[in-house]
Amino acid sequence: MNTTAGLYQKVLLEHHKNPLGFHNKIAITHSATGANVVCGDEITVEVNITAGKVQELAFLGDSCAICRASASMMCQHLLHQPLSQIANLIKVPMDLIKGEYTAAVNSAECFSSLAVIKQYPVRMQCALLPWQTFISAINNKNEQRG
Amino acid sequence: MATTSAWKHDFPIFSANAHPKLCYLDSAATCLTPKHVADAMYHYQCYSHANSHKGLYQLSANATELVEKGRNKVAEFLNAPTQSELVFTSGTTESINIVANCFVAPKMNRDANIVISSAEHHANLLPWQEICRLHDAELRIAPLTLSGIIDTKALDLLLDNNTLIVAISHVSNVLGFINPVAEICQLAHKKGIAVLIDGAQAVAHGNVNIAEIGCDFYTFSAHKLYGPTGCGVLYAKGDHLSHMPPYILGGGIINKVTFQEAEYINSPLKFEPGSHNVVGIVGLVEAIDYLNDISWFDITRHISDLSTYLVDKLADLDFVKPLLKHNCNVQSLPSLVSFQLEGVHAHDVASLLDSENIAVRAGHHCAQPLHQMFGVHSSIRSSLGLYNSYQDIDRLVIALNNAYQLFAIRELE
Ligand SMILES: Cc1ncc(COP(=O)(O)O)c(C=O)c1O
Repeated sequence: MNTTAGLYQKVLLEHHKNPLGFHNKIAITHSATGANVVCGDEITVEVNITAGKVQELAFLGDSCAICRASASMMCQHLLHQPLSQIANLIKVPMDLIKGEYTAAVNSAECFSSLAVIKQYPVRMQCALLPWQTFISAINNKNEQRG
Repeated sequence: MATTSAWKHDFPIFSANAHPKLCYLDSAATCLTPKHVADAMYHYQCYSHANSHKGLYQLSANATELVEKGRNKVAEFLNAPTQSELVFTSGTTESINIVANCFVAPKMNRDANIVISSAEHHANLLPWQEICRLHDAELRIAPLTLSGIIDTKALDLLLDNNTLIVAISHVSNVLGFINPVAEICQLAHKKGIAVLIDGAQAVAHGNVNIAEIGCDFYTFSAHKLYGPTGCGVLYAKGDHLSHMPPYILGGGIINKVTFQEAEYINSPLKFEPGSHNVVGIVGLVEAIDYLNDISWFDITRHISDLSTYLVDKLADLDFVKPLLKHNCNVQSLPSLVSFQLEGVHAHDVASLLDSENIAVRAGHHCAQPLHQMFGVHSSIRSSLGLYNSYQDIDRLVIALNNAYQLFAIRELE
């Protein structure tokens, strides 16, 4: 029981049960859909970028608790952030998930529940998917809508 | 019935220094290995190993004899008619690819069609899909009845003069029911069409009787029969093999070779190029002996008792949604059940179960189109083996309850 209590930390379960940005209706300027090749799950990330800032962020899709919670944390983390900061802001959680985070833990504290995922390599991709899909979305000028 | 299985102690994986708490409910993916099989392979490899079919010394002749006796043993196990041949392959996947590429592909043209069912493993879908794509031909998909078996009437309607083969599973790896394969062979043969049966999920339930089924090809993998991976079988009726070109080319498959051309031998060896997987074949033969010694009557009764219990217990959990409700009209109980937990993703269930030492399969089980048909991405599959007991199913039920409590999102549905 301990190991999964480890994987599904309280904070992560909170995000899973009450996800931020899930199915929110926003004025989409950028969007992308990402798939987890291992399980076929899909997630769509929708963004409103205006005046060089992430003004609104939403996601939808039928995905596991890890992916959903990670997406919810992403919505919390990136909301209202300037595009110029995005690359930096994304690096911390993504490195944490992959077990490649080396800097002081301080700035990563709010993602500590993602840090355990590196111990479960089969679930790593579930946690990475929302962030990767966000990157595709903001690079996805062609798919601009709204 | 006792709460533990009488055969569990034959499986060293459950020993105190390995995984004594393991509750293994994924035998449809691969069966665990009994000590008899592992020992036989160890002994062969340590004390008898040589390259079969090639050396002129006694040790090699002994290895050849093991392979050829193994062929007879498998033929007997499948009740293969005398006018037939058996090829040792690396598994079901390779066996099906041989038939697709060497029996069907040479006859393909753009008017041709191939018929499979909607419940096929990717191993019995992709080889056909690919040769159809290459020849611009049509892949026809026979639907299932509401009870989850292939709809024979609907399948019959798909057959015509241009159908080159019907390729279907004996038992689906997602739904677990036994398809009416003998009836399908009769329908197809009336129209002169060959039939391949993917027996990967059927062999562990015994009583495969190819003489009665009447198929042209039958395939299975040793590891789904308590044998090793990397070893499988392709049965071919009559002289089908002699009309087929070899699949992979190499040593041991020719009568005569010059730099310009080769004349291939006319026997199953044509499809067994290179050095034989003798140790794998030894393992398969030992697995068949082990199961025969237990007796298929006892094996079938054990699995069907557990299966009744599993189906009943899952039916008691109102948050468990089987992909297909078990229908009392279907003669046999499935030895596996695929289901979803309402509002909980299959991967989260599998991770939680894993933390309680319960191994189940979660995902699409290499049958993505079938899951799409049911309108879901993934499911959880629990499948039974000799080592399982009522206790394992009780543990599963408790763990599923826990998973539901932990993850279920009710308010959003
Ligand atoms: C119905 C069915 N067909 C084919 C296969 C492929 O078998 P193998 O991986 O041993 O080649 C499987 C294995 O899961 C199966 O269940």
